[in-house]
Amino acid sequence: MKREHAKLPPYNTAGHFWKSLLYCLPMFIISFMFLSGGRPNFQNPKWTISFLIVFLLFNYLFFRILFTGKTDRYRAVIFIMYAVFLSFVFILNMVETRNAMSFNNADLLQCNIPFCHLVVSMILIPAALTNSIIFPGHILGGFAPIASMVTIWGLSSIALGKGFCSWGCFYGGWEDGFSRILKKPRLKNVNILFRWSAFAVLLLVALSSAFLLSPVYCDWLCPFKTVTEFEAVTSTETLVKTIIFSSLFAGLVVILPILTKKRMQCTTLCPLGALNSFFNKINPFDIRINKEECTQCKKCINACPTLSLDESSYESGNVHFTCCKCGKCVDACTNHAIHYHIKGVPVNKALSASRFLFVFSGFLFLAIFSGGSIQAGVYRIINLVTTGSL
Amino acid sequence: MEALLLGLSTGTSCLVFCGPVILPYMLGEGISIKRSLADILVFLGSRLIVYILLGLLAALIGQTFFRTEIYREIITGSAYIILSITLVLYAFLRIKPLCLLKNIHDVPANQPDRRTMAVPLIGGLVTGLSLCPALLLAFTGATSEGSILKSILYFILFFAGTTVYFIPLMFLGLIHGRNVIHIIGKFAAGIAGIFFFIKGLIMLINSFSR
Repeated sequence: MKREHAKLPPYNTAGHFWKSLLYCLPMFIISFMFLSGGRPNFQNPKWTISFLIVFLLFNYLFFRILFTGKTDRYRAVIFIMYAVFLSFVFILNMVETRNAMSFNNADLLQCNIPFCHLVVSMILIPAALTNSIIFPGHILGGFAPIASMVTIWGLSSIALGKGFCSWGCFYGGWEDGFSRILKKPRLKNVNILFRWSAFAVLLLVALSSAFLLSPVYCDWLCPFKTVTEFEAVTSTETLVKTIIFSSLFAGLVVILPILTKKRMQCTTLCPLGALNSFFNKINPFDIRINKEECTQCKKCINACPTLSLDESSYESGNVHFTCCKCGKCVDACTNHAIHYHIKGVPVNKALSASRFLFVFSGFLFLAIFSGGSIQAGVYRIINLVTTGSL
Repeated sequence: MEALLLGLSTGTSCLVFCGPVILPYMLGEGISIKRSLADILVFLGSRLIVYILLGLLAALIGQTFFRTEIYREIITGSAYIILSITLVLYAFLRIKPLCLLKNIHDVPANQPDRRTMAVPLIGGLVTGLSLCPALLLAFTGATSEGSILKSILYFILFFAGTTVYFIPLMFLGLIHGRNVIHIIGKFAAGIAGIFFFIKGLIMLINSFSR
C-alpha cells in the first residue's frame, strides 16, 4: 500500500524486469563506447576478457539497481572496486616508472606529480588571485593533468552535487568498503557536530595554501598518500609527515569506519567533501523525506555514512547539505519514505523518474570515470595469472 | 601559515564571545550600510593596531632574550607544546576565553542618534588584547621571527585569520549561522593546536639532535 501511495514502481516483478532492461539500453551503449575507448581491440584476448568482465559487470549492476530498487548496494560494488583498483594500478605505475611509491625533489621540480581532485580545494583561491597553479603537476598532457581533473570535478559537482563523493571519488571506496565489514557498529552515537569538522579543515587548508602558495593538505594531512604516493623520508619533518598521514589513514579510513560504519574521513577531514557540500545547494538533485509516510524509525539516521541525517530532518523533510547521495538511507527505509528528488518537483511526485535520472547520471559518471582503472587492474591480474608477471 | 592558522583558530572567540556585545551596536536598526561598514572598519582597524603593537613587543622580547638559536628553538618549541595543548583543550572543552569587552556595559545599541565611533574603536582595542591560547601562541611565534618587520607581519597575518569570521557578519548579519561558525572555529582551533604541538615537537627534536 505504502509503495503504491509513494508512486514507486513494483520492483522485482516480471513487468518491471523488461522495463528495467529497456532502461538499461542507453547505459549499455554509452558504457560500451567509453570502456572500449571507441576502438575495441578484440584481437587481443586479454584486453577482450578484461573489457567483457568490466562491461558486463557494470551493466549487470546497473540493471540490478533499476530492477531491485536498491541503489547503494550495487553502487558500492563498483565504488569500492574503483578505489582498490586505482591504487593497485597507480602504485604499479609508480614502481615501474620511479622504482618506488615515494617521490623526490626532482619529481617536484619537474612537475611530475599526478593531480588528484582533493587538491582542487587548495588551488582555487591562488588561481583566482595569482593566475598560477600551486601544484607541481602538468596542466595539460601527462598522467592526470590538472585541467582535465578540474573540469571533470567541476562538471560532475554541478551535475551531482556532493554526489561526486559517492559516485566519482576514487578514494571514498576505501572507507566505504571498511565501513561495511561489521554488520553492526561497535561505536554508536557519533556526535553529529563532527560533520562540521571538514569545513574547519577546508577553511584552514584553503587559506593557508593561498598564503603559502603550496598545497598544505597534500603536504601534511592527506591520508590517501598511504595508497598512492608520498614524499621520500629524508628529514625529521618528512618522517613526522609520514607518521601523520599513515596514522590518519589507519584511524579515519580503516579503524573508525569499521567501528562506526560511517565514512569518517569524508565526514571529518576531507576538504573537497566540504567544498562539494556547497554544490548540493545548486545542483538539481537532493534527498527528501516524505513526512506523511515516515514513521521516524531512525533507520535512515543510523544508515547515513556522513552524519547528514538527524531527528531535525524528520521535521524539515530535508537532509543536511553534507549528504553525498549514496542512497544508503533510501535503501534502508522500509516505508519508502525517503527518496531521490528533483528540486522544484513536489515531494511526492515523479519519484520513479527522479530516481532514474539521478541514478543514471551518477552511475554513468562512475562507469566512465572508474572504467579505465578497473579494466587496467583486471588486465594486470589476467597478466599475472597467465604469465606470472603483472 | 602558522600566524594565519592561529588567527583562524581564535577568530571565533572574538566573534562568539565579543561579537554579541559589539555586533548589536554595529548591526542596529536604522543604521545605513555605509555607517555600519565604517564602524566595522574602525573596529577592525583598532584591532590591527593592537596586533601591530604586540608584534613590535614580541620582536623586542625575542631580540632581547632569544639570541642563541638553540635556546630559541627549545623555549619556543616547549611553549608551542604547552600552549597548543591549551588550544586543543579550548577547542574540545567548554571553556570560555576571556573577553575584555564583556566588562564594557551600556553599549548603546539600536540608537542611531547616540552612536559614537568610540564603541567600535574601544571594542577593537580590547578584543585585540583578549587573552586566549592562540594569542599567546602567536606571541610566542612572533618572538622567534628574528626581526621587527617579520614579527609585525606575523601579527598582521594573525589578524587576517581572525578577521575571516567577521566577513560574513559584515555583509549578512547572519545571526542564525553564528553557532555553526563557532563550531567550525572550535574544530579549526583543535586542528591548529595539533599542528602547533607537532611543530613544537619537531623543533625540540631538531634542537636536541644537534
